[in-house]
Amino acid sequence: MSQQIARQGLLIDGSQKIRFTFDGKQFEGVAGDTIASALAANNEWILSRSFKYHRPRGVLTMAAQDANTLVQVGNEVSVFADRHRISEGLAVRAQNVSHSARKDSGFIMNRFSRFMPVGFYYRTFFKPKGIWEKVWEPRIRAKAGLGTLDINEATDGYYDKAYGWYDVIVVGAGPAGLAAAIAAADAGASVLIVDENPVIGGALNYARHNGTNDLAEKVKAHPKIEIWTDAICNAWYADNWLPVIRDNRLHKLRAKQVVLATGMIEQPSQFRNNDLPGIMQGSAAQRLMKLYGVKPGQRAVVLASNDDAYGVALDLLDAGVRLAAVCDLRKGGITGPNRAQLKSRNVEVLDGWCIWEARPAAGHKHVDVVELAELDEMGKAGKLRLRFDCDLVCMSVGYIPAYQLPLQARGKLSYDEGTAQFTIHGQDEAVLLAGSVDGFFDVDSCITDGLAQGAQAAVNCGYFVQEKPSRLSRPALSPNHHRPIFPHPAGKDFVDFDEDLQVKDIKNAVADGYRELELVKRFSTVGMGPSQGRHAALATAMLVSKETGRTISKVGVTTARPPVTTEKIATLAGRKFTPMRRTPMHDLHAEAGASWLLAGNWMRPAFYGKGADDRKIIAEEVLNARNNVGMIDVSTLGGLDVRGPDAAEFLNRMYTFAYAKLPIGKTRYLLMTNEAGTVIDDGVACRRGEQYFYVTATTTGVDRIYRNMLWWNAQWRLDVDIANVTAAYSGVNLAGPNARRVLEKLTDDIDVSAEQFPYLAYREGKVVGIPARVFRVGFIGELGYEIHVPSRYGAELWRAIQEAGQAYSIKPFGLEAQRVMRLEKGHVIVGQDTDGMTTPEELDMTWAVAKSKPFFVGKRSLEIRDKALSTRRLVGFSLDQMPSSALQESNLVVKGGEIVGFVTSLTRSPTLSKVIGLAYADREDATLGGRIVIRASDGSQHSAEVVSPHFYDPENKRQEM
Amino acid sequence: MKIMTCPLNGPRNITEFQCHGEVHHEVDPTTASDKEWSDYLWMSNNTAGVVREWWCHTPSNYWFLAERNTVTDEILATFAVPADGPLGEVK
Amino acid sequence: MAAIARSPFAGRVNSNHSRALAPADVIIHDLSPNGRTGFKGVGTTDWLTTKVPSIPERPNRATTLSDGSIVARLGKDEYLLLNGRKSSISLSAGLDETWASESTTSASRMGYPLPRADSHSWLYLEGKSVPEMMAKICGVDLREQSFPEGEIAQTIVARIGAVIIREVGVTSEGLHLLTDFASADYLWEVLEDASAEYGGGFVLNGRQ
Repeated sequence: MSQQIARQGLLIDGSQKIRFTFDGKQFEGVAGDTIASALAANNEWILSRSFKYHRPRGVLTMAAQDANTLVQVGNEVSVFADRHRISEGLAVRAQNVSHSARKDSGFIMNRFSRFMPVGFYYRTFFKPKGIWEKVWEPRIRAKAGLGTLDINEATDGYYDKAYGWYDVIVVGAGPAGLAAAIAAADAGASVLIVDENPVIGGALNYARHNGTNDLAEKVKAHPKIEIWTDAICNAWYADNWLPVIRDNRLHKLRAKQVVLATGMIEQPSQFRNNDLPGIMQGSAAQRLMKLYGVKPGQRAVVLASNDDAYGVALDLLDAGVRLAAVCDLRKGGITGPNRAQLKSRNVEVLDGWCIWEARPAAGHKHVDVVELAELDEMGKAGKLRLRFDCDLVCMSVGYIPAYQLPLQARGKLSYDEGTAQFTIHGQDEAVLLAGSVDGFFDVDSCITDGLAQGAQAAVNCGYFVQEKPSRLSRPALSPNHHRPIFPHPAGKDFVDFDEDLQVKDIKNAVADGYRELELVKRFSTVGMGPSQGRHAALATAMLVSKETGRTISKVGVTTARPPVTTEKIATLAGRKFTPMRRTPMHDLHAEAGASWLLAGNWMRPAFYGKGADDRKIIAEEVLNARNNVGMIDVSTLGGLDVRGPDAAEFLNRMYTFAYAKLPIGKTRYLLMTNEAGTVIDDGVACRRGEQYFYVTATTTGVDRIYRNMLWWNAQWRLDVDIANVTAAYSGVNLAGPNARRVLEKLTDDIDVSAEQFPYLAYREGKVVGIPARVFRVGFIGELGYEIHVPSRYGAELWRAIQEAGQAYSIKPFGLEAQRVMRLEKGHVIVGQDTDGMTTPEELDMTWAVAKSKPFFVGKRSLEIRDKALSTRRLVGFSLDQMPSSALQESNLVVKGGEIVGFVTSLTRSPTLSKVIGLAYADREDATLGGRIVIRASDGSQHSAEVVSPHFYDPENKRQEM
Repeated sequence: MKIMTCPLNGPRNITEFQCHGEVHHEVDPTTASDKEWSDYLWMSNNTAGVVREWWCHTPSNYWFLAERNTVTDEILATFAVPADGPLGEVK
Repeated sequence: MAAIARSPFAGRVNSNHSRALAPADVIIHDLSPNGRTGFKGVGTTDWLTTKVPSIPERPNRATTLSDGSIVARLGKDEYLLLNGRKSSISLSAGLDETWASESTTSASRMGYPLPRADSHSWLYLEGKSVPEMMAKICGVDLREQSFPEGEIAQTIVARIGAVIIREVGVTSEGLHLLTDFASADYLWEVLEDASAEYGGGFVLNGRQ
């Protein structure tokens, strides 16, 4: 039936036409329409197919609360058709269908439903072993899932996040929420009111209520109230931390007080074929009529158990819908203003009748006939039946509170058998409930409650309220029916629409021994679909309660966890915040063609220049440093200034070596163990003064080491000051036989002669006019100077050294060449050649452990570990050439079929022309000339000779030049 | 997300902090038996109830002490490390 | 020694990316070339009290001196000192020199200098949308009612450590932002992205 007269509804502009497609077919809606309302206006009711049986499904709530309305929009899957507004040219497709929502070959599954009982997957597909992975999973996956996502087509929208702060956040802009916002704001609080709908007002916008009120206008005009519509508060986290999604931004909001006025969720009744398109909640029909100007049908059956149902019936009449029948589950003593009004319009009501069965029109596309049954004394469907033709069924049999957020806020749920009502209590003390979520049903009492709770929230924030209104007590009567479930022998009486679960499925789950609700859920998957049990939880609890003979309160509902509703991964991702650090020489490296490596979050040159073979480039960098002179940017190296009367004592405690007697102007190796005696860092201590050490730490370790030092000293309380100056100093390691000649040209006030500036000495002076800390180290095994200058001058230093070194064939080298050279020299890298168990003894570094010191961190543990040495040691090994199945770092060292260690470092040495490496091996084999067996990644085994790890210049002649 | 009140920087999101575990009952490494020492290193009280813990405000690298109920995850108090004297470990 | 300190943003500021901005709601000035220093450790407060006219009464407060220099107190005995942008005197250089000469002779404790000009970059963020922009990258409420003049926050901005100071006595929405020197390039991209919706961005050559 096409609607010729311009539609009138609160959310639409009937004059502004918008065209869109659904399953390829062209439709016309109007501005403000959702996909679902526009399709309904075109008498198109099937939005999707159900998950398991591919049954046609349509509008159930019109509130974006059920999976029936999930559709695909462009490349976006699982979009709520009853929330997403249409736009010109919008392409909408049905999900979970083989062809279209109207024609779906998957509907054949409906006929096999009796062969697919609850727990079907659990029982059926696990035998024989392996068949699940090989056969069933791929087939089921092809059938399962909602929508299709083309990851190559994904539009890369701009999504971000923002923090926000308010005194009071009100969730839900219905009468209670609006009243709460006004009361809190009037007291002076800054208030945000959040609602998922396009306009504020909640049920005021579509349900029947007495008179009018100006709440919405007051809220809009209030200077202290911010209104966010189309905004979803998707969780409650500790200390009132609320994620609110609004467009492409995730707001991370903090409120001193939260008022949850989330309202209630209307519940369906269970009868045969209760999922047919055309069968919907009474509130859904009202939303269609009032918000979107859509007539939901021509001839309706209304199922009632409260006065709201009669409001629906009146609204239907007003919209020109004929009432085929109105039946009420209750019998006798029924009153209510809407019912009285309906009766005054000469509408007959069948009291004490239920819907026994709905029957579809041919093709199973829409409800066509409803069979009512008279209820017996026990409230069960009796023999007396009546049939009515209809194309619309509206159910108003009760509500549950929208308890998701209150329960996330640590609330507990109780069930009152008398009023058939869930009540919430015990939520976080900074969270207040207001209105129907807390058991107030009519508009006036919701407003009264909102005013009271809003004022309370302001008082809790510290604002003064002259006369704080008090809350009413909860009404004794509720609109809820105690059991609107009418199981049919032929089934299809759906409890959970998302998962296609029928009454018998829940009963069978209990019969199978799953008596606890959480187990029923996992076995049957009830409540696990997109609507998260909003319409299934109460019915399931009722069924499990009956089957197990426990109260509904005892059975309860499953745990409510975030998110409340669907959210996009893009929303959670937001902007990309990946901090990266650059040294002051970064641009110079880039100009020189550096390839980059990440060391922690530092970008470091791996090597310079491009070529067919990276290894060749690295080898050239190595050989130039060995034969002429090289330079490497070591700005990333950790730097700590340790100052104060107790500086030496502090280092003595933090590191294994002894520093009290280290002379000024000298350096000493640093080795750090943790309390368990495991090696965790190393570096160099330079003594600048009696009370001043400049300490280096590993690039990736320094922040942790620094924090750790502060922690230890928070306990020791030594008179020492520690400062992390890593970023403040940039450094160059100038190394190679010509290093001295280069440095000589750059400084006037440092005597660089071998006699005046020997190996391990520390000097200060000016290098190209820049104040510098210079010390001689031998990490790569050549004559070398480490020159540290304030970071502002790092680039100048680099350039000056490069220039001065030209005459000596200076070339920069990258991290790769440095790693090769330090391995040739046999220097370990903490973290690469050590693991979570390594002791100094395993590294043959007991020379760096001052056992005579009264204390250092790790000392006591090393004493214990020394009593029973581990079975392994780090050894050097070499092979004349790389086997065809190339060995790699982390390959296992094996002995007699057992794993005894692993390769920690491995390289083809350009200097020595052979393969060298470090590995953990059996202690018994850790003697020169011994042999170890390394298992390559392909399983082949290779024998290697154990040699001194100091492969290059073992007498240290070169670095001590 | 929880809020923690740093004695130096005031109330902040808990993501600005790191927990470093319970304040240990002090063991003298020079007198402790091997058994006592390994107990100190490897055994945790894992108390259900109020514990005293080390926390660090990471942007300022400021260490302080906090009393927290491990059952309710309630932070009862935070305080600066005293200039001297015991750290008041929970037994 | 080179006379003018380099800024870690220099490469970006001089690239074609930056532009002369019309007045916008977020204007970012690179003050990294300006002088700054720090002191920390036992005796710092006592020593500094004798050198500057006013010391903030508690940690995480800043005072502005008559020439526009800022004394920011970060801890019981930790200070950050920022030169006045229009001042002809360099507070930081003066203090560094005084400390160096007095430390050799003084018997009393006077803390230790910190190389703040090399460890931290320095930006000044100006404009009415600055708090709103910062709310996208920082979890501390920097709106004026919660973060008034002279307040300091040592916190995290876009996952890196930061010191934020609300300046005293100038346009109300001005924030100083000091962060890791080595992370400047990363911070540049974060701020360009975050300020774009306010028509903002970096301006050339420090503050006009």
